[in-house]
Amino acid sequence: MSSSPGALVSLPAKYNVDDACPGIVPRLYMNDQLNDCVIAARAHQTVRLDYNSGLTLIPDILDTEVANEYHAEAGPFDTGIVVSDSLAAWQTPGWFAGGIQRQIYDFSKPLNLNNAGALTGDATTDLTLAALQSCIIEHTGVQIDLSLPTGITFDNKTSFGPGNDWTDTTKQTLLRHVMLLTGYDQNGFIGITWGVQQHMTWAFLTKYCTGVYWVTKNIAP
Amino acid sequence: MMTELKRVHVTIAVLTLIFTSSPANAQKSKASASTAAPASAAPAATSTSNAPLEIEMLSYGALDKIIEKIATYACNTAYPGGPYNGVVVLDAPALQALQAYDGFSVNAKALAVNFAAMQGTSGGGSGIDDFADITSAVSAAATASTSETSFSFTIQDPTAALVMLHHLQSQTSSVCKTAAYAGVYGADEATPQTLHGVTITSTSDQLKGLAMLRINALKAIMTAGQSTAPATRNAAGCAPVPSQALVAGTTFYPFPAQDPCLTAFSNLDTSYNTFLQSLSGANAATNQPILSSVMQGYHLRAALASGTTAKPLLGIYVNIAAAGGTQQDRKNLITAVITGDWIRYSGGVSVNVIVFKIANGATAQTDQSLILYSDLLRYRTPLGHVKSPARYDNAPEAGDNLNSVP
Repeated sequence: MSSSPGALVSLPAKYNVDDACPGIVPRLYMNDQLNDCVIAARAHQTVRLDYNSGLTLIPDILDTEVANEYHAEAGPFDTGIVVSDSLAAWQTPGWFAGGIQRQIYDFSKPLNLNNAGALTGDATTDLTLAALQSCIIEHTGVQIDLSLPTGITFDNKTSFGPGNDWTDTTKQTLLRHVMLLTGYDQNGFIGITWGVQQHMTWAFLTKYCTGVYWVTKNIAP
Repeated sequence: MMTELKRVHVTIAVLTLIFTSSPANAQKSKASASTAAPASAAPAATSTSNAPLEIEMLSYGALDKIIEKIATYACNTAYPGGPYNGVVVLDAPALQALQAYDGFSVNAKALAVNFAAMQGTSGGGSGIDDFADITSAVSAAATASTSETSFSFTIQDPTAALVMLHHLQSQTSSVCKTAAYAGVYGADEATPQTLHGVTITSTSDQLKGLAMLRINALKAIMTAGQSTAPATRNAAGCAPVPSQALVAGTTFYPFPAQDPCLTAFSNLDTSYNTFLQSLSGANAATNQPILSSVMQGYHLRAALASGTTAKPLLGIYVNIAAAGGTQQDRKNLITAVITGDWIRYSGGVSVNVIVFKIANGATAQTDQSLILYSDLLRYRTPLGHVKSPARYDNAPEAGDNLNSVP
């Protein structure tokens, strides 16, 4: 596992982590009830990390495990979670999911997307399109922190999911939202959010993404 | 003939004297209102009454009759609506404490949401917590009840609740015998209750959580402000714009004093400090520290939240609306010459009563809470005398108590 966001030498034209994990069925992981996307994205990545490391049994992450982790991290006010703090909590002490305590080995600080603003010139924190694609392959998906534009909400069922690709880059931002990117194709990137697969263009991603985070899995589950 | 005429005149004169009442003959219906100190429904530190003790005793007796009736109703007639898992007695201070906790929680959540936004949380979490339940209706009814301003004297708030507890304990129902009131609601902070999916969080946990959110928000915007990387600056809700030059000898960028992000945090911090200071103030009605009311309100809120459709609670709200009495002083020739004034007393009380079932569902829509009975009950004793205590031993008449000195 590389900690560098540099692109692989040769990238496939399209890729999706889920193509190699046909048994994984997208779930909401309490996102509809807790209104929390951070632990839901973590749950999505947890099952794929397991699958990618050779385990064929998909962990059955219970809703109660998701809720317990959310409440433990969100505190008494239920005001949402800071994704970088949550990744740190996933590393230490880890989270109890699918019946066992799970930890990641490492995670990145927020990475910049090309076109998202002035880049730093630091090759370890700036992601080009190819570098993001490479990162998805290397790290079994990446988590992205978005400032979603107005109109895209869980309550508006026609604003997301299959057939509702995210392409419009003209609107103001409204809702801060974390999701797991699992792949890409010729039209852009593919992720999982609110229990369904979501397509978005590179222009949309670079406009509304505020940070990209990769994780590496621990040797133990 | 003259003798008979004189006898008639004397008889008329005597009768005139007998039946000519003195100026004090009229009943002084709530007469002491003009001299009694104004009272409120809130508990007073001491009684402000200047009414005769006999009137007060008769009024307390009237209160006892009303409360006994309600206790019997609650533990028998109302019981088919059960089975109940417990009985909670409420009065005006208890409702004030409940409202103090609810208000505290709403304010704390509002501050928390703002600090969290500055910290850069993803996912909105829930909105402002809504603790509305059957007690909201009880509070509204209590607020809307008629307030008498001509009390002869004030019966302090806990009195009605204490009398109610006494009569509940006299009932055969084991649930009524263990009725809860005030500080004995017994909420368990380790396993918090929920109401409609919202956790009833203790006051201390909310204050601690708020302090952590404030610190984390400050750390987040400071970290963001020290970076030029877009993603790092985006990680917080806002990032100060640093000066171009590093502080000499350090790796820190200075921020302009009027930076909008820092100003926003500073304004929010002012609200936070004002909120904390308000907790140290005294409740105008009860003179208790506001924080004490809030903490008591938490226990009450948690106790009320434990009433579910499967295991409902029975709530009894009692609040004395008015208490007073009459002193009748009759004067005539006989009283002037032989017996002294003929004085009789009457006492009465009016009590707001609401008996209600607390049966919270998983959501507000599935609640089965309802008001079983509500009324303003009144009771006035007839004019009479206060009897001597049963088995009176004359000890109170002793001229000294020097024997009590060891």
